[in-house]
Amino acid sequence: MTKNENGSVKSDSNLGSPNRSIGQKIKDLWAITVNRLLIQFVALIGLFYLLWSTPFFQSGFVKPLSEFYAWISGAILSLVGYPVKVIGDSITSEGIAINIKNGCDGIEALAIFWVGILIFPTIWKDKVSALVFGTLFLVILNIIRIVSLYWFRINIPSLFELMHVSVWQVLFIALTIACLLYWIGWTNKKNQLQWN
Amino acid sequence: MELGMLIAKRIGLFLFLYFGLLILGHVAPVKSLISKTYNAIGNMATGSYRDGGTAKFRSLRPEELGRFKGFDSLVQLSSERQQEIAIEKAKAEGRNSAQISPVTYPVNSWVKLGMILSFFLALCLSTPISIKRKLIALALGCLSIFALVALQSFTAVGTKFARYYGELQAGFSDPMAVSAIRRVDNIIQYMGFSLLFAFIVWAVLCLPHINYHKYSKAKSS
Repeated sequence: MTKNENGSVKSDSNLGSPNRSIGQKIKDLWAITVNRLLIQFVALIGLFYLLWSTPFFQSGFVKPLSEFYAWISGAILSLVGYPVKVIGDSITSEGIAINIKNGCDGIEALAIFWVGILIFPTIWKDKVSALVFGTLFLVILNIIRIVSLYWFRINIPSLFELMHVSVWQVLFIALTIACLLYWIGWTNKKNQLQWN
Repeated sequence: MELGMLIAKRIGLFLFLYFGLLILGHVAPVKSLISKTYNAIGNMATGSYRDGGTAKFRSLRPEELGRFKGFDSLVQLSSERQQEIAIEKAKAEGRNSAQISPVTYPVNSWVKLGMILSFFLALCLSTPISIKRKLIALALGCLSIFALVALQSFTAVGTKFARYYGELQAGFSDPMAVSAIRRVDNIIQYMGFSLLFAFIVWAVLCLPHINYHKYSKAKSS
């Protein structure tokens, strides 16, 4: 499906004769909206990882974010009857320590969400509201993850690794994708974008 | 709310399938199959390394499970040069036999392979596309995930060889090559990257084949 400039759509299932040049084949692939979005998505995620691997990003963004998560999770745990001490990105109490390291900071999920929002063709007002509310949702979700993992560490330590690795990682990514898909459907319907 | 219900149903199906596969993956025959597959991929990707280095992926023996809790596979690194040094030392000391201590590190094959496969399988099976498309996506997707695991094994082993170069004298020693392998390894070893990779493979193989027209018509009817 591709959208013409006048808002109508044309079917792009017929990609022309098999004797097209490579340049034409690439143009035809690019003309299909889903393909274009996927290529842009992969390119931007690649850029994200290049940036993520730099010491500047790790010390300037990842570390402060991890410390924020540790501080706010520690505050919530103390409020609900689990007195803890927060040192940097660690939550500690009576011989137990949880560190908010790479993977537990939810940055990859945020990257998926932000890139998806930025590349999807819709009005900027909808993108800004998605970036604000969606990010807030994912931050709250990550705090819930950290608090629940601490709870498991204290009360059911045998399930901690399973919850940490196999459950929450996938649940977090799945809910991020759900959030993104829901927003795409919402903005499509709201702006009456035509997809035939 | 119709759109919300549609997405909720598909996400619900995905979670049902994923947790089902998670439970299945911890049953003995499946877990053992995952472990053997992981070891086979690792051995294929890293069997021989530069300058006579060798990496061997194998399952942990029952007597080793206590020492390496939470893991089920072991990677052993050694090299021809390490063996030569041990033999020279034994000869100098007048001994008939030489001992070498390979560098080892444990791996959890379920985390490295099983979980990613389960995530991808659940994504494909919960996507509203034809069965033929699902089968094609599953076949190509699994191959892509195996390729990622092979690359992860390669960079992990390369990083270890670089770290223990003084002892093993194998692998990359050029500082730029070592820095490049470490940087790539730092990125691709994380579970988040593997899940993102599986998501992108799913998106490429499945998203273009969803009949969006059917769903937008259903919404407007």
